[in-house]
Amino acid sequence: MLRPRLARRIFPLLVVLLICTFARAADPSDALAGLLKRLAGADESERKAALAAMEKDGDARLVPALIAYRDGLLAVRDNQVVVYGNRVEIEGRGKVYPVLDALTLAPVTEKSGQAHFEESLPATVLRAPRAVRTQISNLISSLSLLDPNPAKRKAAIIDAGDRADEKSLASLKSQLERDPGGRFSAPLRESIARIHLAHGSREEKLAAVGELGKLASGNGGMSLRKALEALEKSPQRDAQLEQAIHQSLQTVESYQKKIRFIHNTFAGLSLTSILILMALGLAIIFGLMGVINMAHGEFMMIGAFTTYVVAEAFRRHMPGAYDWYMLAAVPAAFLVSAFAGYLCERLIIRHLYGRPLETLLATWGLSLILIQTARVYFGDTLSVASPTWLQGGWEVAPDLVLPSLRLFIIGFCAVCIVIVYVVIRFTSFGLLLRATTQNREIASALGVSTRRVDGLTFAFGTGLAGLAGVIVPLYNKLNPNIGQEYIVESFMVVVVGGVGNFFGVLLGGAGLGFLSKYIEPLYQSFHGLASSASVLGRVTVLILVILFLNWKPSGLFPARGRLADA
Amino acid sequence: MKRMRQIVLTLLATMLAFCSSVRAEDTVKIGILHSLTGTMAISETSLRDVVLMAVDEINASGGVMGKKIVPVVVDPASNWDLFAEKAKELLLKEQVAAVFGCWTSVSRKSVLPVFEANKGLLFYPVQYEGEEQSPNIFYTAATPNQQLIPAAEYLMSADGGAKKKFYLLGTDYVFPRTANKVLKAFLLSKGVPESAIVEEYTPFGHSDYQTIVGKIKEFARGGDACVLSTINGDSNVPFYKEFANQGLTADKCPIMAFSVAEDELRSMETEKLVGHLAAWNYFQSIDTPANKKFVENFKAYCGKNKLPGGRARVTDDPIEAAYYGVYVWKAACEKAKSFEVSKVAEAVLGMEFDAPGGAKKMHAVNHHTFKPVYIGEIKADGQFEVVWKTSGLVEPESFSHYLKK
Amino acid sequence: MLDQQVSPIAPQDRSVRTLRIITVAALFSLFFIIIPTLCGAGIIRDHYLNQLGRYICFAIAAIGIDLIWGYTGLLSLGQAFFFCVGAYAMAMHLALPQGGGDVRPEYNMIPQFMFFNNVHSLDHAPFWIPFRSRAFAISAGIFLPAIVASIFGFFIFRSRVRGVYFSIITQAVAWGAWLLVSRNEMLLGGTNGLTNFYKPLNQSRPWIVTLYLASLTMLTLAYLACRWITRSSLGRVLVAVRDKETRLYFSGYRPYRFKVFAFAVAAVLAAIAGMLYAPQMGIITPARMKVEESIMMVIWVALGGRGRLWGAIFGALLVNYTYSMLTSDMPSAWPFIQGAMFLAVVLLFPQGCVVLWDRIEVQVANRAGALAILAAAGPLLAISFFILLEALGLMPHALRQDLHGIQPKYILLLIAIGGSAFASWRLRQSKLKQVTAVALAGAPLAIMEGGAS
Repeated sequence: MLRPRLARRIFPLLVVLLICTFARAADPSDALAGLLKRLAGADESERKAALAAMEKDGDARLVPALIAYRDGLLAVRDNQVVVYGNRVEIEGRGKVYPVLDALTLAPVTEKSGQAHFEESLPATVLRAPRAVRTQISNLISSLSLLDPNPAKRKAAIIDAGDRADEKSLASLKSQLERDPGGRFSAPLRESIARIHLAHGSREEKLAAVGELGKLASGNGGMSLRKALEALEKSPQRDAQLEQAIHQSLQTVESYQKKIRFIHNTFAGLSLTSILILMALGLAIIFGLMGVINMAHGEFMMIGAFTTYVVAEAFRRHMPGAYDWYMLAAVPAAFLVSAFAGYLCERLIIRHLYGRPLETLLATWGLSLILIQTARVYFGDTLSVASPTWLQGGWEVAPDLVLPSLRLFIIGFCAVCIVIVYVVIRFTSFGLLLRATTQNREIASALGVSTRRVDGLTFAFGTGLAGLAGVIVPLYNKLNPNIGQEYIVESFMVVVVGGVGNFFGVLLGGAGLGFLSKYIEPLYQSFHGLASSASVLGRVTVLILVILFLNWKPSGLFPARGRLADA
Repeated sequence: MKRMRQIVLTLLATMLAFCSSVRAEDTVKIGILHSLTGTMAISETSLRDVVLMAVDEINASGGVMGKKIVPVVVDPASNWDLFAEKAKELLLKEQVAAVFGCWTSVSRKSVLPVFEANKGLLFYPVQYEGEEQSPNIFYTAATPNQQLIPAAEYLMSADGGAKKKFYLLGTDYVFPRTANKVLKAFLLSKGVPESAIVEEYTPFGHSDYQTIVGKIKEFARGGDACVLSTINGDSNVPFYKEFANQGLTADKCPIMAFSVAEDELRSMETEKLVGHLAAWNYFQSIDTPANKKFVENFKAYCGKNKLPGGRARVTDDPIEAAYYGVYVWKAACEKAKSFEVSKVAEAVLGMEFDAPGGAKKMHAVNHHTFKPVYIGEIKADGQFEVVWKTSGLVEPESFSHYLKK
Repeated sequence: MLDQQVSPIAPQDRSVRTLRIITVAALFSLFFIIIPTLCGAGIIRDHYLNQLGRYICFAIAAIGIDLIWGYTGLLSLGQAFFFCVGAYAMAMHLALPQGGGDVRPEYNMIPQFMFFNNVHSLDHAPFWIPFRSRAFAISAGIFLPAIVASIFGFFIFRSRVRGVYFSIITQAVAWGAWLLVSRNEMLLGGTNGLTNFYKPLNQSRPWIVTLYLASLTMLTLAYLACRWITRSSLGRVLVAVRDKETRLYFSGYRPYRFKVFAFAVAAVLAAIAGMLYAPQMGIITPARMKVEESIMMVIWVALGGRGRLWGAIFGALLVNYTYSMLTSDMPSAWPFIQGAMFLAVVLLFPQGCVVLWDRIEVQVANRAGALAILAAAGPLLAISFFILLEALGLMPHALRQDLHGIQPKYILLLIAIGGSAFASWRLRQSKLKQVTAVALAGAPLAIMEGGAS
């Protein structure tokens, strides 16, 4: 009994090893190319045979071609099997597809030696019929078990567990044996255990249950639950196994609870940092001039569209450096928004001294104009593609993946907040700003040009909104109304913090951000309320804000100075 | 001072000249009632554009019964009360022969009594929740049975991935509510257990989908789950972004959307959305000469008139429905040999016509449209590939039998 | 912050008083007698009277805002919420068969939307049942906001929440209410709101005229009540609250009581406005209580003239009519014009449009001569006349013809305003043949009028 099984396990392993080790030496690319040709041929049965052959002895190099076949980007061109890559923008030709060799992924060249591009997909492009697409996806996954790209490899390993794919078991085990403490050990162990749990003997199942309990991953938990359901349905109950599964499930649940909590905290942190960035500028302006700037959101919108313009310029003129457009977009957005803010202060706000409430009307009018200007020039349907280095995530612990984008947003806001603090606390502009905020008359009497300070402060505040505009399109839409979405909440942050106080804004933002992210999941866990969790979460936060202000009528840090009795 | 008097007199003369100018009687007015500002502008502006294009085309080919169409464009500014006011204005002050407009259900509910009281005629071009049948409205887009049921059936089929768990996510208003009710009734009738269906609603304009996508991610473990999304308008952008961000893909958990068409995809990075689905009655990619011509004309029109987006503009289901609405009205006027609403409405019933997406037919009784149903998959270039379609036209059910007691 | 607004002219001046009496009498007869008569005679279409009636409702709410913002210094950004409380109370009654609602037997004679929320009889939505009675609906519409505002105000003002903190709290209330009412579970119709009322309410002439007159009467009563409040010693306390609350506090007053009172009055006014609005509109949706709507309400008052009751009325009518007009005439350019209008008013007339009237009074008080008075009255006359023609649908057809993207009526308006401003300026320098200047301003008006009749 033992031997055939061992042989069954070792054989595919050998095949894989052989292919891996001798892939280049024995040059099976000819064989692979042959398989590809058959796949790209016209004959239906031939294609099926090619797929079957690939399942038997394909390797990771087939993956791009298979993905292209699945997604409809594979074609035969001049007797060569090619794939169409991600579109790039070329001056004068618009968005075009690069044409690549299906196996080597080398660009197909024209006679002049230049890379060949095509405007649109040819009609001869091949696409797997939907019925076989699942099969192809599985094949891609199996072939990617040894993919050089770690993310793909890991996804393939987990996928094997998802499918409880017995055929991959050998490969998984050999991988684990070779590198028991490596970065893939956790997913490998998990998938092996999941496959055992589905197909193994009773002993293997028991061991797998224990293993999954130790790993405590969500995927494992799901397999356990499935196994339990199957057991409960089956005629012969197995009390010991059920007991073991129950125990493991408990460990999984408690671990997952912690993970969920960390996720919510993280989501709260990312919401908080955006709120703070928006509210800081507002708070500085309000604290200094008592101006209710209803157009603050629109200055963020200006920053967002500036980012769009910069990103487009990069895409057009230096597509290679697109990933780094942000380096230019950050200063550009700050400067453009700040300049717009400065103009607005010079032309409008300055004439409204001593009448802060009228600025509500003026800035509302201004925001109408700004929104419509953006709509006329840019329209409603634009987007900024996020740089590739912001895709994916950072896996801190099993099941705890923090998206890079959110990490970046948090980091970006943190840097901005520190810079604002430094500017206010340690520069001479900051000193003048604080002096004017505390007592305008005396500052003025001491020779501070308060008007200049006002202009610069307004520009500084709106510039900060512009910075928020750089990151907002990364996770949200980009349209002329976008500013309106943030203005109400920003004001709330400012007020909760105590108008015009730096630390107040930080705490106010944190309060609002974390609260809403902790409360929303709370509602989701109640069955009857789950479907409206996001609304109820918001309403609860609003009620808490009202109660809080009732308790602390001037926010966390009550303003002192001239605004105290305004 | 003589100069001053001269200026005044000239001005007076010009004004009086205007007063006495007689209006030519060889025109017929139609109203266009789509929001051009506010939250709905993102969707409705395209419909105004395509209706104006249809008017241009008709005028270029001689107008309706020899009369040139004069479009009256107003902006209800995404304000539901203003919709009713503008509708009254179009019917009473401008005396238009027909109105093309509205997107949201609430805007239609707001203008409905106006059209009924003042004997107006409205062509409504957006798929909606049904449960309505006004003698003064023609519904040129889908009813729930022409969009929802085929989509759910498809996802449950082997082709669609044999999905067993369904996450019904929508914006909180009447279309998603009704749609999900229909879907749920259908799924339950097909033996899907209650526990495998999750229903959730977010407010209008919601943009923080971190928590919800986290929940979907947990729900979708194992790969037999899908999302049926009735999220409306620009909330889709942050939703799809967050979906991709948290590592969910179409292979594992496809999103079947009922409110995302080509026009909405313009504001997204479609490379990350490949494989997600949508159910509609028309796609830009439908490969017929008539449709190719329509798409090309629309692009040329937007390019020529320097509309935002220019030649990169796309067509989609509501755009097609808005477009052929104008032609249906024209054909009905010619059939009735009159612009009178009652006669035109009579002529529309049961009319067969060719739309860019293929031949269609108006229902003989219920004011809705017979349409084919397509399921499309998002491609990297923001277009849909049709992966499934009905063999013929599906009859519209204005009152869904899934909602009966 | 002592930008107190009082008319620059003491009312003791006899000619000014005569002017005021004449104007009030003219306005009174115009709105109470001439317009309804013209409508009855079919010269003014029902639609326009209905629109005027609805905008008058807005003016009622605006008076309330002026009372709390202009006089008491409380900037509430939640008045649209109270407006909707009234409107929903009335709408709930009107949507039921007892209120004439258009219900069908196939939906068990209850509003259709309930049916789709799995409610097949009112017993499952018990809070609807009392709304079968009209008296209950009306008293709920009045007392509910009064109670809510009093309780809310009591806690908020007693803990001395002020200024922008108060504004944000009211905004939070309005926002939360909007989110909740938009939910279908609340059984208030969700985002679609309540509709299918008794149809003749805004379709048959007798009903339209009745509701118009009711709104107008209510506006007059609200105006008189607020005028009485602001002129009594109570009003002086309110102004004191606005200007130096601490000093008042140390003088032994309890400012919060006065604030609660003013806040409740404003809330009730807004609710009454809503109750009259719902039947005239025929639909009420949660979109009416969005934060933006509350801000717009404040803007009406700011534009008209904060701290002057008739300024609030004028502002509400002016903003709503320009909004309605511009969205039709300049579908995608109107935000520019309206935004510019807000900016212009703030920069040119910090006190709001009431200044236009004050200038006339100054000229009258100075016995400046008929021409100077006319020139000063030019802008206000031109605007009012323009709005009136537009509002009643009497703008001559020829002036609405499109002329290179702009309609002649706007050119005439600009000429009239510019001409009279120019005339005033030249008159001050007294160098001009005065006739020319006045003609410059008067001619466009004459054209408009000529076309109208």
